[in-house]
Amino acid sequence: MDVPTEVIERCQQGDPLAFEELIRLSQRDVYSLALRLTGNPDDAAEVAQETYLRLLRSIKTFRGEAKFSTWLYRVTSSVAMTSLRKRARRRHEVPLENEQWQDWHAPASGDPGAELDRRQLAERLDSALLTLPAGYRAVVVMRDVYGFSLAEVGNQLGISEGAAKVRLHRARQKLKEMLVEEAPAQARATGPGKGPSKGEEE
Amino acid sequence: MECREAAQHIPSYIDQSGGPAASALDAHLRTCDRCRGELDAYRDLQGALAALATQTIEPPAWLLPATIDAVRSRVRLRRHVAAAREVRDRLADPRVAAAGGAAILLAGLATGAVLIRGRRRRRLVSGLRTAAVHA
Repeated sequence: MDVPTEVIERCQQGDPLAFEELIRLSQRDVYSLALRLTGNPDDAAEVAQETYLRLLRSIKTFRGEAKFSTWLYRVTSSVAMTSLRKRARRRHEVPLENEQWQDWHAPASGDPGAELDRRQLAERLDSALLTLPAGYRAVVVMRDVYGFSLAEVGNQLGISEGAAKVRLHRARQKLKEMLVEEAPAQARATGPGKGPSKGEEE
Repeated sequence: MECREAAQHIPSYIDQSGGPAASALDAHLRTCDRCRGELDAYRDLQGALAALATQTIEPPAWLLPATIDAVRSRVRLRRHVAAAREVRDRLADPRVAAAGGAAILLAGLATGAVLIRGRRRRRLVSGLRTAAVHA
């Protein structure tokens, strides 16, 4: 995201054209974070729109202490968390604050061959992230993808820093199982033995 | 520390936040190729996740114009609200309120005067008619 300081300053002075420019320059990043947090394109679009409406009110409070992108990501994740809470209530899903690990699977792709064709790690990761429960996906996206501190993650989710750390730990384990172990295991099954098998200890 | 226990700590170890098990895990990692492999896998995962931040996802084409429209509507609404507040604030000013009150009082007095005058005129006409009939 590359928003010039001059554009931000004009937005803070209430220039509507500058604000539209800011939307053009940052919307792709805002939408990407929203989609990774909500896991749903419709919710992500709603979050992206609401983020800019909230920004309209609060941009004057941006003091430049953090990078603008970091600040905007915080606003986006805050809006996304509100949206996820509402969704959980509406659809009777597990609340974000709930510690319970509940396996949830993303809807299957319409094209069965598509999964096999995905070679880009980014796409595989984005798909793997979708298989995590919303409260765990949010932790790993905020912490490992966007670099939020664990305290900030806990604050956004309404959980303690320790609870955020536990979730991060479990989410990483799950992602690693999906991304790192499964594919090489298939390769090992067809190739020569390399190292000890899973579960083997020293 | 054994591999089973080490595996429990490795996902958090990549944050290098220390912790009570860090030194025992350090010692284990020095001697265990398998767990070092695990650690590398987690570091690779962390690196790949961090790289995702730069891999943006294309939003639907309708989103940009829709967002700009929503923002414009909100700006217009804010202007209307600001204008309404200004009117309210002006009315709340004691001098404006006093002037308004005086204007209402004067209007009331003028209306009353017109009504009283009209009633007197009607009575006078009625009296003259009665006198003419008796005459």
